[in-house]
Amino acid sequence: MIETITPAGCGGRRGQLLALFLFWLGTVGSGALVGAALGWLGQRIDALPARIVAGSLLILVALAALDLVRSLPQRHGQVPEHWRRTLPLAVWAPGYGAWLGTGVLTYQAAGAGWAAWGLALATADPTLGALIGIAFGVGRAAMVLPALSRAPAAAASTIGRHWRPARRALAGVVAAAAIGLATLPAPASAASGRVSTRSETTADSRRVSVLLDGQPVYLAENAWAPSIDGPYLAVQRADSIDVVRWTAQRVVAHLPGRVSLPSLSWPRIAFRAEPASGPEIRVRDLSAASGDVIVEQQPLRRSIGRPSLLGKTVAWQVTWSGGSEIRVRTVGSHASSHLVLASRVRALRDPALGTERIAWVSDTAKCSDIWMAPVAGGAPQRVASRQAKSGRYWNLSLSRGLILTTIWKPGVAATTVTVPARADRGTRCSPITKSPLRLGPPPLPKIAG
Amino acid sequence: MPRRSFLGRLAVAAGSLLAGGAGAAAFRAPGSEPTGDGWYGFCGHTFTTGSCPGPFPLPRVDPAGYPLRPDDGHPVDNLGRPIAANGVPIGADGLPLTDPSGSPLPPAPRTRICEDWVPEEFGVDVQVQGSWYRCCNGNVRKLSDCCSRRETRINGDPGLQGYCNLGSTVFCVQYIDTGVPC
Repeated sequence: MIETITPAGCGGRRGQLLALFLFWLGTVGSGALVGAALGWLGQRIDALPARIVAGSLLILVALAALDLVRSLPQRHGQVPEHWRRTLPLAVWAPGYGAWLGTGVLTYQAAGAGWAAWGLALATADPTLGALIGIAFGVGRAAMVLPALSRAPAAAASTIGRHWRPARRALAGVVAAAAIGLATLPAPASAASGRVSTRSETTADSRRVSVLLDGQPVYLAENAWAPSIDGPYLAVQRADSIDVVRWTAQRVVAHLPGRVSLPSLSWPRIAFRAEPASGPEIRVRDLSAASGDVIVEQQPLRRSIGRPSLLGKTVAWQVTWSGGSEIRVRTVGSHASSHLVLASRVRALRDPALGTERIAWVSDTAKCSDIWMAPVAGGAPQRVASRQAKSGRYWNLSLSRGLILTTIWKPGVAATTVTVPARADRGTRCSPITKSPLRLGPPPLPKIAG
Repeated sequence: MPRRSFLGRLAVAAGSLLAGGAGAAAFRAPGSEPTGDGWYGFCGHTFTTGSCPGPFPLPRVDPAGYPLRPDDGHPVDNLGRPIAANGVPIGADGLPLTDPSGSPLPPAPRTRICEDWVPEEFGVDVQVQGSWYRCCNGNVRKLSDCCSRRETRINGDPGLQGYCNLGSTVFCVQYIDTGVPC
């Protein structure tokens, strides 16, 4: 195919150079995309199956490079040759590159495509996968080099003489990679079990652990207020928030300053910032270079509690001497925040967003209740209630019909419990019929206060 | 005597007889402190009108109507926690209370038990109107009526004018310990 990119076929030497450049661009870009996609896929499937698939591919490629396997599974085809006759140069040249950059849509002389994609899958990281894909694309696009030579035939002949040793070198590299995959400790994966976090506070230390099926797999010292979303964990530190990819044990974002109480919904993070003017709730997209979106600003005399972020929707509480409120806003929409609930008497706090419902804690002197309501609006229901003297509900998260919460009483170790996310008509701490809590469809009206 | 209030007091009395103090507590009407005679009240107030709702059973407030701890008059928030001047909840040592992770606990609202609590908890428009004074524990106690135009009191008894303006009746009662010796 590459031999068709000639001055004659491209309308001159300048056209040939342009075609070769576009071809190179298409190959590298296509390789990066496929690598990133496989890295993403590896992130979402179990770590062990991903490694088995990747290791099998690498072994197969190594055997093929040593001529111990006759043929790799592949498509014995070429690029669609007719494109060059029917499409403009600006389309067919990068198109050929993109076709080849996938690595599997044409005949593979050495099977490097399978090796690259196996490794990309095993990284379980879109960025690393993309880098592997770029490396593969650059190698694959190297076929343009003879065409750039003034004596293309001689250049191709030189490459041909070194082909066999090069294949053996490839076999060695791939075999080493396969052995590395087999001997490395299995990385913890968010998809391979039940992931949870644990916060431990003692007189002289605070630490956060990530637990996989109850076993600690990651530890962050001098950290607290964890928020986890799959392989990503956000923790608060004394003067910053760190976001780590706990499966790879590396920090992926560092938010310095007077920031606290992170809530992670990758790639976004909501947190409380405390500039001199008063507390704020901000949302940042960690995958983009854009700045923070300030979703709430309050004067100094008011307190803003921990936000709950799900996708682009964030909920938080505002408390002051005259009452407490729970507010919700969708980032990116031009609508201002709307009020979900307000109370002059109760301390409404710790909202937790689910895909369809929002839950929160409603505290009085005697009782600690969990309430829940549809995000789209509707009557709130109390789902749990307990005497405050035996501990209050603390921090909520909604998941698959359950509310995960902590029961905490000062001076007593906190315990984590799950509560069914449905109306509780059983034990009640206080009469429910006189509750002032109301919820309407957005934009929600202020009820009291 | 209205049937509802009679049955209520009968239930309290029966509970007291059958189960002692715990039984009485179980039969207690909202915001009230039953006396040994089955009446509701506190020092200076012995009648069937229950106490206004608040963080504690006894409705002690400051001159502006905000809740105080009955034992020592320390300002408290709506959850009954002693607070510092800036509204932050504090412990017995005067230091801010902390959450399980060691961070300061967030403040809670602190609102008036008549003008703010009653409308939200009972859907009643109220106003503090008449008051009277008694000598309690060696100091002058000011007792005030939280009045509404509703026909019943907090504990279900029929409205009673008490010290409320004409047309209003007592919904619940609260008190201020003035600190003036008597």
